[in-house]
Amino acid sequence: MSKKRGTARRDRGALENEVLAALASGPMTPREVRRHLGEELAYTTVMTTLARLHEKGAATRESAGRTFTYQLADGASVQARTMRRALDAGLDREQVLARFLDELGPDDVPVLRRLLRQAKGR
Amino acid sequence: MAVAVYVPLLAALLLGLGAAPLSRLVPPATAARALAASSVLVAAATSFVLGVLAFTLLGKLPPVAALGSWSVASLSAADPVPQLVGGAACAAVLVLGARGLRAAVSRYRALAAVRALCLSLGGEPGQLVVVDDDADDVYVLPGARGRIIASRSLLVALPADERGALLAHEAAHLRHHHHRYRAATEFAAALNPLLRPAVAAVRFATERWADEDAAQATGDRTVVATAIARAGLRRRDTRAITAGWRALVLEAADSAVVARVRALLAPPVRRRPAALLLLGALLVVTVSSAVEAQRDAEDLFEQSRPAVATAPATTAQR
Repeated sequence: MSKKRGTARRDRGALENEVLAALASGPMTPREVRRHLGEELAYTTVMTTLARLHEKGAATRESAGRTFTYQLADGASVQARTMRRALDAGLDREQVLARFLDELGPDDVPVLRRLLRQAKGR
Repeated sequence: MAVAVYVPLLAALLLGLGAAPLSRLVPPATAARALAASSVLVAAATSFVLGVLAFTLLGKLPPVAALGSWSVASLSAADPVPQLVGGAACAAVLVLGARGLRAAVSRYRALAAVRALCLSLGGEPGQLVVVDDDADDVYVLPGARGRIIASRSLLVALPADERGALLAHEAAHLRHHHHRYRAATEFAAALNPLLRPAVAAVRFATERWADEDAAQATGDRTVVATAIARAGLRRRDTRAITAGWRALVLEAADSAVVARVRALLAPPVRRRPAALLLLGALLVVTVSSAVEAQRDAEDLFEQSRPAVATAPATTAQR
């Protein structure tokens, strides 16, 4: 039971992050966010997630006719300069950060292109 | 003692050699856990036997012998450890101990810096922070208040399903505390450089672990594979343009990205109990050898004590 609830909460966090990631493209109405997420989610789910992000201060909104336009708040986005300065101050970047990607070697690029074509062909 | 004391060193060598194959052969979550735990155990055992070896030399110094009330002459006669080895062990204990301390301190500092950064960012733990940057990048700031950081350019470039896969991958790093496995292995490798290959192996295993977690969350391993491949290629493209600070980052000879994509396009890795049993056996032998070496050393020092020194103990017993 408690495990199940844990999963539900995690899914909610994942959903919020996906909505934030969609808003990275710019200010959007809930309908546009839904289109950005691949239209798999119910409109109301997108609406409530956006409302929750607004409550948390992760997104700001402006009234646009009968709906709202949402965009990333200062708390959810940061300037590249600020981030670099923070990371360069006393941080062994490679040691601490779990990066999604390693650096690619020159030989990796053609291999990766081929694998990508192969995967998309499935 | 002549043999047992060297067994943990041999075990460290074997673990170092076997780490990379193991990280690819068994399911990644198992590999990461097993490799990190084994590295720490083997590093502890080798540090311990180095200490024992060093002490057999130190014990022959007159002040130390006087303190322990054993005879330098009879100790020297009975000691199977050549003096050169004892000396090397003393040096190793000093150097490796300093390395371990430095690794622990720098890790602690880095985590404190990350924590401060997470606090200054505001928002909730686990929440995505979008960096307004043209250089494609995505990573996590680890810890209890950890965050997922992604550059705007990368998020905009990826299709929705791949963006979801990427976020699920990063969330898995945070949820499973992958930085702890990495930190533990790095600490072990600082104490015993023979374990160095385990660091890259655990790093790879945690990446694969997060990949498989993301595959489970999105229900599609191919999507995770394409997300990694596309993001990898994009990151290389932008890197060529905006070299700058990124040029300082070390270029890895053999990137793990291709291996990860291949692994996701292939069927999931089977469990291999035999490989784990072999690792378990190695650990049992290592630990029992360390214990054996300690017992032998104790006996050695006991035997080198004059009979007078042990007399009061006998009277007390009566």
